[in-house]
Amino acid sequence: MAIAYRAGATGGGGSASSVTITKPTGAVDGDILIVVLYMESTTATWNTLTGWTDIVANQQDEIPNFRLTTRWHRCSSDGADYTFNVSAGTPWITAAMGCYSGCIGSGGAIDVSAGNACSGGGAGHTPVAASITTTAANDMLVAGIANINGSAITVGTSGMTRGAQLGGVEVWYVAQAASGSSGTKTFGSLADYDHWAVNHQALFEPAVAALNVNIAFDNSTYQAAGIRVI
Amino acid sequence: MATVTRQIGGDGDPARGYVFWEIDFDDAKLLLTAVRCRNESSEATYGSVTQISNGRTYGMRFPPNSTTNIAIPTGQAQKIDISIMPSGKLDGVHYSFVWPYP
Repeated sequence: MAIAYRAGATGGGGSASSVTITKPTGAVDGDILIVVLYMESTTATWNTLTGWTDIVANQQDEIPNFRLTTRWHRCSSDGADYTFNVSAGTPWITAAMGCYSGCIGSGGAIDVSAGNACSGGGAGHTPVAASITTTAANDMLVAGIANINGSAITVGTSGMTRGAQLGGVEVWYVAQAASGSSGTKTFGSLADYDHWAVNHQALFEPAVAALNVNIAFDNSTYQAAGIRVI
Repeated sequence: MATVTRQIGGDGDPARGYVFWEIDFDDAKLLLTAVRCRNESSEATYGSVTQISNGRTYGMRFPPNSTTNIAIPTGQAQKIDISIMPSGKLDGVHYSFVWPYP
């Protein structure tokens, strides 16, 4: 079964010490959640949350204005929502979450990942997800993107599909059939004051089970036909 | 005084269609006046807004293929105040959106 975007949820959009996100509708045990956590601080971090693993932590934009963190979680008898707490203060925070079905059922869910950010001036304000090199077929590439002004990001030439978004914090995704380089994913240009950061990661699909075939030969039938089974 | 509309978020996919959330606010009184959902998807969705300072929340389910407003009361007892940050973002409110929704 191919990996698919099942549902999304978003939360935040103001200054606070925590953000609570509703569990995406229809999420079942084994689904993988990826949350994109945006924080306008260069000192605070996100406290750890049991069951959640950082993929790219505290990727800063160029100024820096903000930090972008992506985390993953495998659903397992989860409650109705998830609360992510800030280590200190009440910075502006926003979160966007995507729920994916058809992912690997045990062990690590992330194949590869990378974070990057704008470097200033002209083309520097076109969000680009850095190329990552997947090690398995049929990964789902997921880009978590944010920009300081909260502008909606456009698809550009990325070929990716937008999922949940709130205030410029967005989840984008696309399946990649063959293992190897994803190439860079270039989105539409932002205004020149829209500093951005992108965390790019790839989700594993389940490993293909070994195929065992047992064939029973009826020797008498083959021998009657003049065939010798050895 | 002017009512300003700002698109703040969305969700969806190519197969089921997309939903867009917008807010209206009074830029003089700095009050949130409405949250509007343009649901162009085949799924229902849910949106809510909460004033961070006091937990006052307004939310509702939005049916598929519909445009609906959550009209936010602006009277003293029930209003949701906002502030505008130097970056131009609105502060004071947290949003919660879910798509799809039963």
